[in-house]
Amino acid sequence: MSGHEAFLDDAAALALGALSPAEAQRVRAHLATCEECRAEYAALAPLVAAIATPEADLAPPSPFLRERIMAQIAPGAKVRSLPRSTRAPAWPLYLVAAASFVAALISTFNLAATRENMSQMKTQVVALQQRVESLTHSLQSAQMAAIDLTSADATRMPVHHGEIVMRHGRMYLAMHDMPMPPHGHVYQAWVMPRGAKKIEPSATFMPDRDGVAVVPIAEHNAGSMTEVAVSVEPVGGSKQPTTKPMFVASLE
Amino acid sequence: MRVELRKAANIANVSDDAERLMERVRARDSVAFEQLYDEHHRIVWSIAMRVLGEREAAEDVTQAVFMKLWNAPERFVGGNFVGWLARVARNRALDALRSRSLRSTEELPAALPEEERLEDLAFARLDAGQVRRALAALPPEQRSAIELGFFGGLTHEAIAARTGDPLGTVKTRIRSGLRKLRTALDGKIER
Repeated sequence: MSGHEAFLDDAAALALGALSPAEAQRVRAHLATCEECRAEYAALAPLVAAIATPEADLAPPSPFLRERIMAQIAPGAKVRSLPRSTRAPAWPLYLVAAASFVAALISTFNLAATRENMSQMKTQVVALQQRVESLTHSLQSAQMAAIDLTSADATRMPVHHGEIVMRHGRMYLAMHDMPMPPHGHVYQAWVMPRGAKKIEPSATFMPDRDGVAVVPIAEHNAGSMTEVAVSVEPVGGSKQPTTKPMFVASLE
Repeated sequence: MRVELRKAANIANVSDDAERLMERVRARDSVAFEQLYDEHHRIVWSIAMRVLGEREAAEDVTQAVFMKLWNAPERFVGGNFVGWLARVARNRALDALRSRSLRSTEELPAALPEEERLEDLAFARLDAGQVRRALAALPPEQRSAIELGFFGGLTHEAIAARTGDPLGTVKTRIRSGLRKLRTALDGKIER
């Protein structure tokens, strides 16, 4: 293999992302001076999109992942985007999982709490904390919501195009057959806290292609809400409803 | 000429779709963001699952990628949106591997450049089934080397160490496989 042929092979490896940082730097320096290798790289680099094509039998992510992401960009995201560690205590399963990790940590420390091991143990603690956060994430969105929405002891209130589901202080809108809102508009939920003088904005959302939307409305204080409404609002949401709500449900 | 015209038309379509949506995302249009998520989350999810192998971590990566897209849409400088998204997803998944201390920084390959404009947009218009068939048609050793490099996060040296093949052989397999894939997909575009 000629020296230059080796560079062409390296250009392919660079396009794939299979070079170490030092090698990548070396090959990029060569590309800057070699038109042939630059052309090879340019021809092969876009193939990452093809290589990454999902396999046909790949199970999709949790549908709650979409809700979680959209909740973070919603106008009312201040509440929803709190660090996971501050949201977590509302969820009993999280506490069980967290307690297990803490117990494991204590056990580990008891076994090997020597000074020279402390640095390594701290690293493990950080890794475990990240794991707890990840677990919290999943439990919160997927398990709890799925349980709430399907539970026989959930309180359900039919509304236009769906129902309000409440269980253990949590509340969701479970909507179906919703038409897409006009271009440049979204649906927005509204809540009336007990004792409030006016309705307050909650999440904005869009139904999926089948007209289905599952929208978390309250994480722990559903009992303090007296009304829930949904209206069509401009993208980004509104501070007060600007159109007639499609429904206003009294929870009293 | 026919191929070039076809590619040019495809480039225009994809560029319009992605760049129009990304322009709306830059203007904080959450509907455009939701459309991008609905159309493209599967490729991010797929990469995260292939790299990390577990759903919780893959969901975290998928969420991080789309939040990055929302919070820093200017990082997409135009071109092949799917290719750019795949690079971002792969880089973020490798970051997750690092943070889990499963692999050291030295063992992982360099991140794919995210600020680079990938001009070849035609592949983004291909049906996923066509792409899968093109991948499946590669000789197993070439496909394996490509997948270990992209999803396994292995350098070509690490691939050689794992498979027991000479480094030069691994390099050639990667390039030959990519070129065959390119040729196969070009053929699909022509039809």
